[in-house]
Amino acid sequence: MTLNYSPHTLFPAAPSPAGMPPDGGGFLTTSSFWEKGLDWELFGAPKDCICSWRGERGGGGAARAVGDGAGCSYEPPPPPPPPSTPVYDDIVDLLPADPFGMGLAADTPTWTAAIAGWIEDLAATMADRFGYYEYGDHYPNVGDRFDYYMCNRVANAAAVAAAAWFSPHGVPDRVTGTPLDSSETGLSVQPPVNLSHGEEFVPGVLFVEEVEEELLRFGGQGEEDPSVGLQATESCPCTGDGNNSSSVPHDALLFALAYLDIPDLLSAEGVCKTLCSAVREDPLLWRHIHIGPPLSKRVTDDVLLRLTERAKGSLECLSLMECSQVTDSGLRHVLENNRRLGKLSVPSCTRLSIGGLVDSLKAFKPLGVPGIQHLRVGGLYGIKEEHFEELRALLGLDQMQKLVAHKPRYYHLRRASSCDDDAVIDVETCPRCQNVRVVYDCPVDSCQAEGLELCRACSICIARCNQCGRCIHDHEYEETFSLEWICLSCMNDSFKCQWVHGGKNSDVKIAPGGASLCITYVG
Amino acid sequence: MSSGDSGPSSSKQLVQQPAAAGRSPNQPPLLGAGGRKVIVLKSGDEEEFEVDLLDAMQSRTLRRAIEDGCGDGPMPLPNLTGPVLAKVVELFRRHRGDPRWADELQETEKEGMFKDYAPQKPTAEVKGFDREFVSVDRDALFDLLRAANFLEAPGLLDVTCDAAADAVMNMTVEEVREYFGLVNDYTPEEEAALRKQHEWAFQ
Repeated sequence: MTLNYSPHTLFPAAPSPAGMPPDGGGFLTTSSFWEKGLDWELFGAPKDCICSWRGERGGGGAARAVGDGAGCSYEPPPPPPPPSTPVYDDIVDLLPADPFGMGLAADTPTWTAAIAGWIEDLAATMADRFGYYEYGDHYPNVGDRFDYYMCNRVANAAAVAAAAWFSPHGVPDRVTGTPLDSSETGLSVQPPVNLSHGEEFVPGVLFVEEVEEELLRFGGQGEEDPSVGLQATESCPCTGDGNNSSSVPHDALLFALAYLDIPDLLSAEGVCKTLCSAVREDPLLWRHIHIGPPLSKRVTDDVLLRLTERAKGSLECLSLMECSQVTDSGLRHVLENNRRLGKLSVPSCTRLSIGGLVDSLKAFKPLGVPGIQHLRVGGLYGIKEEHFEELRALLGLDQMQKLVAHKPRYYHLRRASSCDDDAVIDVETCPRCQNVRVVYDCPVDSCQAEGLELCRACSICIARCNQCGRCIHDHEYEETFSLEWICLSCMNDSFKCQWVHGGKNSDVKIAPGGASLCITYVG
Repeated sequence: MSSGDSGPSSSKQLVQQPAAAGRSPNQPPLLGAGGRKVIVLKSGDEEEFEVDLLDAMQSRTLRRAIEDGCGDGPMPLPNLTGPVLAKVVELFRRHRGDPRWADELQETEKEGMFKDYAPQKPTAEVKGFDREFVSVDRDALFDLLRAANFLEAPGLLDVTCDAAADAVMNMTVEEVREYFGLVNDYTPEEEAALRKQHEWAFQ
């Protein structure tokens, strides 16, 4: 175990502050960073944890830092060693009896309780901030890495919980078993299971260089690995003869495959070879492809093409919900290769242009056997009247035919799967603003009773509750953190739900429509 | 039980033959206590269950058997145990009129026979029953799934597969392996290659 603490080029040379030894090892104290006016968020260390240290410690070198290093102890740490840094041969010499400076080392239960209490404090602080914590300071030495580490653990947990809240598919990486953001922080909430290239879980001690690498990687984490692309044609590793009886999946699992969605199908491939070939070789499983959050932001043109290829031309319904990376050319490719496509749904795919989509559909029309019969384009930018007319012509809608004979469309159900919706096109001319947008109906009886379609307009003309879809112009409402509105009764319901069931046999889930559901398990 | 049954046969068939003569040869002859047609299913462990013919028709396997004239005596189903068959029969009874299979009936030219069998959407009560039906342990669920597959009953398949999918949903790969008792037969290289392919989905 070595402490390989070297100055990194990321940090500019800064003047040593008072108290800093001349051979301070290249790390910078918080005060020097403050003086330099650097962007603290860059370094990702939580301010809360560091604040108790600020000003108390001038330095002492990386080696000493391990000694008094860990935890947001509220007791003052032992006094720093004299500025003349001693040379230590063995790191063990540096470790004091009480590594956390809390006077608790001998008493394990107390120590554990103290740490637990501290984590609770921190979690409470962050809960106050909606799961966010401020990135304030850079860790001034290796010891404070522990602060950073612990904060990340809690933040990770909070992020996982938050993501699980918003995602119907859960968060953990179902291929590797590691949490999602391990690459972001270099730290794991749980140790990785049978990772071949995963990062090692090194409890307690982290190397600063490693962390700096992680920080550098931070910015580029969303980028695709260049080696993963279309060129890498899918080679199924399930070529071996997996006839071992224990590697043959139960029939039940094979039956259930048809009921799984894409993330689960992909993770099922990783279970064993038989299952992998069962998933890949069955085009029926891929006949209806629905991509929604959390996958939607990660689906690129290449990925989409690979997924649709699995249907072997039998793709019938393609639904891309808010897939902001899919481009016009990617969609055109998919259309060219899947001529039986009948339903196309690309709501809020912001990278698609309406002009490009119209062109793709024009090119597809003579190819497709039945052609596109159902189209969802709500949320695309700049749909003009002429686009609308062209789309209607492509879909075979009579110009004069009025689009009234449809099921009411409700705002809160706008994210529901579109494969079972039978309306021909989702956008129409808003009765109020005359723009071509998705026009929603009002579920409130009194609004419907008037029968004059008074409460029928796009979401810009009439604000609606995100959970029940009612109009809220005359009612009290709450604006949520994500800038959506929730009417007061839904707000009360969700609170009541949490209070009544508060974690006991209940589970709050986000329904496909975006509404939250409280599911109570009886018995 | 067709007109070809002219060879030496049991007395039971001889008795029933005249009765069958007036009906379509495909129609089963048994009548239950209330005058309804009933068939008897016999599980592998020799338990017998009476099922309304109309309910039994939810299973394509049973329907084929009935149409082939096997509905006279107890119909042996050796790969289903008594408890499983009991549950299945109960589900058939509750799912009477389930449009999932009733839609198929119209093609089978049996309007006369099934005229009182109007398809109806599953009520909340039926949905509640379905939830109860699959809230069983893993092995029992697997047995039900096997039974559903053997019987080819769309309603039963839907309910059980849905439950199995719910159980698997959001599981990690290791959890799925553990749940189904599967062994990882990938080499580390294959696993790494697969992970690479799916990296986009599990970032």
